[in-house]
Amino acid sequence: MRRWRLWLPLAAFAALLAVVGFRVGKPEAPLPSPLVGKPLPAFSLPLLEGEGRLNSADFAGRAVLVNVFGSWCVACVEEHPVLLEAARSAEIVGIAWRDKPEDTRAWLAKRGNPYRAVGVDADSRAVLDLGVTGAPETFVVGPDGRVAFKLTGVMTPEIWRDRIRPLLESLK
Amino acid sequence: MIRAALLALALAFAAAPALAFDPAESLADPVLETRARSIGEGLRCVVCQNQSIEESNADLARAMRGLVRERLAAGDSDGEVIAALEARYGDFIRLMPPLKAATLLLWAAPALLLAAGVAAWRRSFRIRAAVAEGAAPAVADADEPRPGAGLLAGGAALAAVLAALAYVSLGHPGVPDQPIRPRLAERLGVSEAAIADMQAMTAEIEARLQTHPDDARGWLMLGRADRYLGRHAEAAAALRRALTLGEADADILADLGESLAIRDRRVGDEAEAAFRAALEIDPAAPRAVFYLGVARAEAGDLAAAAALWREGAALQPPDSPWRRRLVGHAERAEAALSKP
Repeated sequence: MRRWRLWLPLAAFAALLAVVGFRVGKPEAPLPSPLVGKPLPAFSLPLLEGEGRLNSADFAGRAVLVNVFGSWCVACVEEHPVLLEAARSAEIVGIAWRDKPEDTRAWLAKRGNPYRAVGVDADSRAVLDLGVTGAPETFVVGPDGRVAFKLTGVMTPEIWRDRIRPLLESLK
Repeated sequence: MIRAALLALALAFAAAPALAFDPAESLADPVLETRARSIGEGLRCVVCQNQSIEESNADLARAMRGLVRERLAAGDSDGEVIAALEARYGDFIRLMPPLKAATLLLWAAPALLLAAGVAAWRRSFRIRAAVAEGAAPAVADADEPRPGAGLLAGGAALAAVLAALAYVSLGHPGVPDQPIRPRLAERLGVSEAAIADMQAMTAEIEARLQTHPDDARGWLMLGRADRYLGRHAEAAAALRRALTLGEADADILADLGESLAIRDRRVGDEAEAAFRAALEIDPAAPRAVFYLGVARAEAGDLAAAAALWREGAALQPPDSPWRRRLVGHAERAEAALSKP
């Protein structure tokens, strides 16, 4: 009997439907960054406070978090308490993206400042060079200057506790 | 009151709308600009869904367009520009996936499927030919009844049920399909409610113009609101209507020219005529000067473009941003000219 073969197209269709159904509706996973494992692209940005610049070379030899944020970014507000907590044990540098310095200052004054230093990237050049697609994004950079991990989106208390803090400890 | 405030907002923004294609971004050198556009059309706007950076209004796409142009102006090859972005964003940055080991199946799939189809078709063709020649006994089940209508209908019904089930579990029939609204709100930095009000108000003006088609002021409001919402083809039509009904000043003509240029993605004849008319009213009209220079540059006449920008810059008040901008463009055009 080869009659069962007649059902093959339908079975194939059902299988396709199942695969599509399984994938559709899932939130899109953030794309893996090709920068992970590679040296952090160099940047040099004017400091938010005072004269001078924030250079990526400044934190060579130390494990740091590089956090891209902006006062316009709603998700950054959500993330902020976690960064304040993280700042107690980690060095965090901020990149204020597409933001007016006075707005960034007011935002940090209101919510507390977890950053050792903040660089101002008004024209998105540094952010593009880092392959950033939105704020917030956080890079875990090792003492060797390589990107150990990149987080796209909000750092939740769980992500900080379970992934980033242990990773930083292992890098130190 | 709220409505009046919104309208004031619309008019304020109308002078400086955020645009997917802002000719002010373009390079003075038409050859480089053409290269920049063709690179940009192959690069994905990473915060949009399947839009190229040339098509997108997103700030990130705008910044990326600037980066592409900067690198080209600095002497990078097309390949170097793309490779630099690919190193940061991965293959995803390309709208067309590159051919490599990981994507081999993706690229080969259409050819493989076609080959499988042809093979299946040839096979069934041979069997039928054999049946027709009476050599059927070689094929064991050639005399098996053909699939009945019942089976076909059953299959179709099953497919329909599966599709309905899939829609019930995955579909969102209640979701309003207004994705433009949050994007506009983000781009313009106002609340979604304000955009909704704005759209409602535009509809209201439109409705009123149905009964009062000679209301020049109404057409002007509609045109500016459309510009604010980024609908430049509609804006151009409305502004033109306002102008033919008697509203005439250099600013409206420049708005019209700019909307036409954005609609056509170049400074075409229509836009040029509008800018010329603006200059007749106000010889210093900075946007008219700027775009007419862009038209010359697009036509390949950089010398004429530079001369226009220089003359126009001299007419602007000292320290005005337009003066600096026009001088900057003139300088870039002159620098491009002095290169061999």
